Amino acid sequence: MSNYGSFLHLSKPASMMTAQASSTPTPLNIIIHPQSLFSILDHTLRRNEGQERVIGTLLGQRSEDGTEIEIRSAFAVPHIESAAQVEIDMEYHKTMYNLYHKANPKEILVGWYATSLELNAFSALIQNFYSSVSDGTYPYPAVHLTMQVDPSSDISIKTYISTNVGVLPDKISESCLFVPVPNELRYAESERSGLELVASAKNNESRETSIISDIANLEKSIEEVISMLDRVSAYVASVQDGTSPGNAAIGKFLLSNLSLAPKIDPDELEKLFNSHLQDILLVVYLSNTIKTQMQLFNSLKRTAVIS
Amino acid sequence: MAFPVTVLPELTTPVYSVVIDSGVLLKLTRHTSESFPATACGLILGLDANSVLQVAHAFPFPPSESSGASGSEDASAPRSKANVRYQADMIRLLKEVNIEANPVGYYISSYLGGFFNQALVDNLVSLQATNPNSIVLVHDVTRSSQSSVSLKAYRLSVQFLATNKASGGKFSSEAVVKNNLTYLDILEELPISIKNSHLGTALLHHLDSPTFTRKDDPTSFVSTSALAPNFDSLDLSIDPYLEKNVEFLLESVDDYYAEQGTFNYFQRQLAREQSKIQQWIQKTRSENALRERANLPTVSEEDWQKHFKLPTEPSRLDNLLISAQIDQYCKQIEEYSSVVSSKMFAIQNSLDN
Repeated sequence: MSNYGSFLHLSKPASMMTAQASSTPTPLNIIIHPQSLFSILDHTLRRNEGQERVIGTLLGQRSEDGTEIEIRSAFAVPHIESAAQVEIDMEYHKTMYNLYHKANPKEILVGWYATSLELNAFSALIQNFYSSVSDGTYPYPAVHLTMQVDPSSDISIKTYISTNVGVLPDKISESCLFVPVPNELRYAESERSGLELVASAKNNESRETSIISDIANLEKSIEEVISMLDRVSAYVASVQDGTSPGNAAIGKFLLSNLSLAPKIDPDELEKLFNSHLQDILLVVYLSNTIKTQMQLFNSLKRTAVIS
Repeated sequence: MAFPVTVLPELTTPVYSVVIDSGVLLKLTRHTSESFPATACGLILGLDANSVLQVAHAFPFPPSESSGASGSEDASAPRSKANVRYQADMIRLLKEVNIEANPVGYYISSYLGGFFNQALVDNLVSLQATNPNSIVLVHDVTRSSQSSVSLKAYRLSVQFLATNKASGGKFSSEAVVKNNLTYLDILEELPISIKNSHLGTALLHHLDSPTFTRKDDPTSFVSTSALAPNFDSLDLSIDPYLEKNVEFLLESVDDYYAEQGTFNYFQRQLAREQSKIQQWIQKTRSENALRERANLPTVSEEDWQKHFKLPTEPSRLDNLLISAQIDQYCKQIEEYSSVVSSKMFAIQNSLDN
């Protein structure tokens, strides 16, 4: 019968009102903004001596039906952890959350993060706090994000929501099961150039890069396109010579892409281009004249005052 | 202006460049692009050491609550009372998590480079009074959406501050000339570089690795990595950007002439008053001659000040700001057209083949 192993049925994070329990959906996908990840890393760097992991709050937005949660920013919350107990500064969390909320009224509390992959009883306690009625994410489940920032291994990001797996009523606050939820990284168009700039430094020795001008950026993009074209044409040439095996899928893909170039009458196109170019040159000439005149005014003004 | 000051103005060494943390850059660009088209404003925190200003953290100010807030109100946010309190609270909380919460300036978003206004000057003057290395980071939202990030760091130049002090904020013509202040010298630009922490670099490599990119469609060859190169800069359309720029340029030129008009009015008034004073002095001179003969007390010629009041000279600051703004628009047009004309010529060449 069951060749697939054993199963455990889990209910969604239980809410007190049963009528509403079925209407609070579980998140099916979590979207993370890169900025929050960088904030978390920054906090890790600044942790106190002897602290293994740091925790903090996640803020973001929920979609209309609750199935998608977007994590947009994060802030750190000081906490002290020992073998026996864990202590979080809840006052700090509340005040900081209020301040953040004033600046970004659209962002609400969606969960918390920790920088070690292990999930222990303390995690359950903290998760409980964040899902609590008073100022937690009730009735929605709180999202827990763990990020492993150990320099020796790969950075891995995992997101969970919790559900109760209580056996004993007095220990229910300490026991919960973390259900993993798929996550993905997404960013707005406007942030893309920022992220690209930041990423351009990743291969530099000094981890630094400066802001490049538009022309330099254009040159870079053109060089990249040229290198891509070189690679593709080298591949096609080698397939034609018979030195490497051809792949029909790649060939069809290339063909469909190359046929995207539009077919326009060359004379028409030349006329369009010329008029376009003339527009630009006109505007440049105008702006140069204005600039020269301003400089002239400026020097006249000074001589007028002196004399 | 009570910023929590940790540095005495006399002991600071001047900085010559700015290093921004990658997290700060992302936060900044996100805030400014989200509150487009309203002006966004926020504070930056960091450390100035070894002639380099390191920006380690930034937080946005809450949008101003008064309804119908004009753009200039938001821009003066660093000095409004509510925001000073917000800032003090925020700094106190950040200190608890070991973030060096030393304000080193503020950032604003600008629409097509139109940020030369009175608010900018006031903010920077007050900031630089406490910390002479304060900067303003200007992020141009419209340009960043097309190509690379357009972020610039400025601070008020030494000449500007000297003129401000010398003329007590009035900017009379002689103070301007004496301190060698032209509209080009109002702000000095500082070079910016972006720095990643080691963990940040590790994260970036991880984001780029094949294990992370989820290929939704296994038959597609297009990389869906978060860090795939962006080719939007190869796009050819120019009209909206250039059009807006020229529009703003013409508006600024109109403003300039309006301002010139008021200054000319003042000059005419001054000339008229002076001619009247001269006439009066002549009259008293002849009267004095008569009075001496009649042994009556003479009226001193210096007493003209009791009878006539010279008009006050209007501040030249507006003129300087508008000229700088016009210059900025012209520069933008030039930079933009250099890129576009290269693209055009490249395409033309490929067409001819």
